[in-house]
Amino acid sequence: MKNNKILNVKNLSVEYKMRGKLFGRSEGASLKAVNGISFSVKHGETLGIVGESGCGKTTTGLAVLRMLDIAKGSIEFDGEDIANLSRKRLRPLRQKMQIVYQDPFGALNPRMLVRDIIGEPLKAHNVVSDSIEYKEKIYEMLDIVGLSKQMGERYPHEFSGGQRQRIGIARALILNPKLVVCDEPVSALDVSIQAQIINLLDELQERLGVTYLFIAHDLAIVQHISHRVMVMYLGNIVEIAERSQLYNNPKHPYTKALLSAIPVPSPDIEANREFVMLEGEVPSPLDPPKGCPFHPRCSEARVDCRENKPVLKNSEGSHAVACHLY
Amino acid sequence: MINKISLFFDEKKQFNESRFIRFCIRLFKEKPLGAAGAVICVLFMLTGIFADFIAPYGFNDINPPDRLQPPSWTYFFGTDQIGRDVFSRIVHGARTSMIIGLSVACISIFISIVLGVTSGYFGGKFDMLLQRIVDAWMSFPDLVVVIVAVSVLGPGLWQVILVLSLLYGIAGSRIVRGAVLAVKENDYVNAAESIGVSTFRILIRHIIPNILAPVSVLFTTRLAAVILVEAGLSFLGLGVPPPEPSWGSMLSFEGRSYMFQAPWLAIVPGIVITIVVYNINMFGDAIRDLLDPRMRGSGGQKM
Repeated sequence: MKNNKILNVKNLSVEYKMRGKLFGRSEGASLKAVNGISFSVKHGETLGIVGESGCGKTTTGLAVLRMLDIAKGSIEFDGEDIANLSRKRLRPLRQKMQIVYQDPFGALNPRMLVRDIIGEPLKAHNVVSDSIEYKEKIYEMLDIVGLSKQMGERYPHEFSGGQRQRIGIARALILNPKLVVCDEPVSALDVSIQAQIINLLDELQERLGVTYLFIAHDLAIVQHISHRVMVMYLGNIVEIAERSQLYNNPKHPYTKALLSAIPVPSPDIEANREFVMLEGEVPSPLDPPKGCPFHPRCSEARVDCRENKPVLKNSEGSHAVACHLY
Repeated sequence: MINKISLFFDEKKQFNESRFIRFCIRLFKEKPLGAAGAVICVLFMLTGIFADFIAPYGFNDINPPDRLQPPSWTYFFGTDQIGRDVFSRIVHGARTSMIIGLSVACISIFISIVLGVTSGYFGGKFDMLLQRIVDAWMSFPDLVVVIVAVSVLGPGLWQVILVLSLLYGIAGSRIVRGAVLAVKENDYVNAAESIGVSTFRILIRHIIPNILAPVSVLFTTRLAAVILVEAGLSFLGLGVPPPEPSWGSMLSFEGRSYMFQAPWLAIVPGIVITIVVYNINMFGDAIRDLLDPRMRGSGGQKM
């Protein structure tokens, strides 16, 4: 049971220290971007993470890669607890975990040739012995992501957004990593290109057996690519379930509201279906509400919700929800 | 600098030469003004190097009967108050200006990059401490530092180079740091970290190539400024001691004293300084544009 999990996160918290008065010591408050979440990801599956802006999904992705310092909790990656490793000890582990960024324009160094961008992980970890092997690997990777050999001799600014995202994916996959965090990899792209990139990611997963942590705010895309989906709200997991269960039978009121916001491409259904409208704004994570973080906006909130924070029930099963209604 | 950017591939050595030639061709094609600047800069350097062969007279050959002669075929730029040939002194002065200008520009840029990049990239307490030291250093008037240093070390070429390099290097580190702060926020720097690239490689490959635009501007403006500052220092007697000629001392000392009797004494070094400084700036701008792959000519790149 333990062995088929590539990633096992327990009670993870990430805090950002707010600047205090002059030297920012004890006076500064801390912002809990991620508040004690636990989840696990199996080998070769895709876990989609959805939620509004500021709900902590990107922070979760970065924390799992230890691109951020974490405040509490443990992150077991490939059988090793990486929560407290130093930067130096993490460096060799970075071969096994990669990230695809949201902004395809900012993620590639404009001064480097595409072949060098894609080949950088090879050089960083000294995995190739000579330049012939190096080149072959790059050409192979270019081919896998659907770019031609000659494109390696160009600079990033000569490519379109979708092509750049392919370059970013090639760079992430060249070392054959076990886990790739995709941080909204398609939200900066045109809709037609989005489908191409999603299908490419899908295809690569089948071919290479890589595990994805797929962060997005577009529920339709997450539905397409994920095996399981995790819904976050204000730094907490509100629901985590198999894809079909979550989309067909959402339990948490917040998930219901999110799902009802997906437009349905049929006017008849669209006219008759039930909408769950959310009122109000997301509370500030600096001053989160007491009890359930969602209760100020929840139509079904009860007294209990204002006082006690619900825990994630049935977290080992296929459908876990953090709500007092269940 | 061209090589620094392209040295990632192993066959770089055999490509170096053709890369350089290609770069020169692009310079002439895309930036004619910059190319003219480059030609003038090269001429300026050659003049400095071969001053002994170019100058018809020695820089200190005194010929009192011919003093304050206007420009003529014997004396291209006329003569000064003790009959020295201004043309020969300009040619020899090019050597002084070149040595001071280039060495101060190079050393100060090096200091700026080392201080600015480490301070900007590592940030935190280190940055805080270093920047307060820079603040303290910059709060001394430049001239005071120079006067103190020269009175301790004695006047001379190398003392001037040392002091000016430190002054400009430390002040310039602010500009470099600012550029680094902007560059380091880019996702490609985060990406390199997430890949596991070592800090040193991140600095060399991702940070420094992307701050070359402000750095090259800094370099050329420094080069030009140093030639002018050396002129000022020579005027105060803090620069290169006479009779060694320097453009600055010619302009400010002899030129100013005999402004009405012999205007060429001021006009000639003035024009020469202007031409050289202008062309250095043009050349610097052209290099900055050409080194940026995004600014490549609209003609489209070969596949």
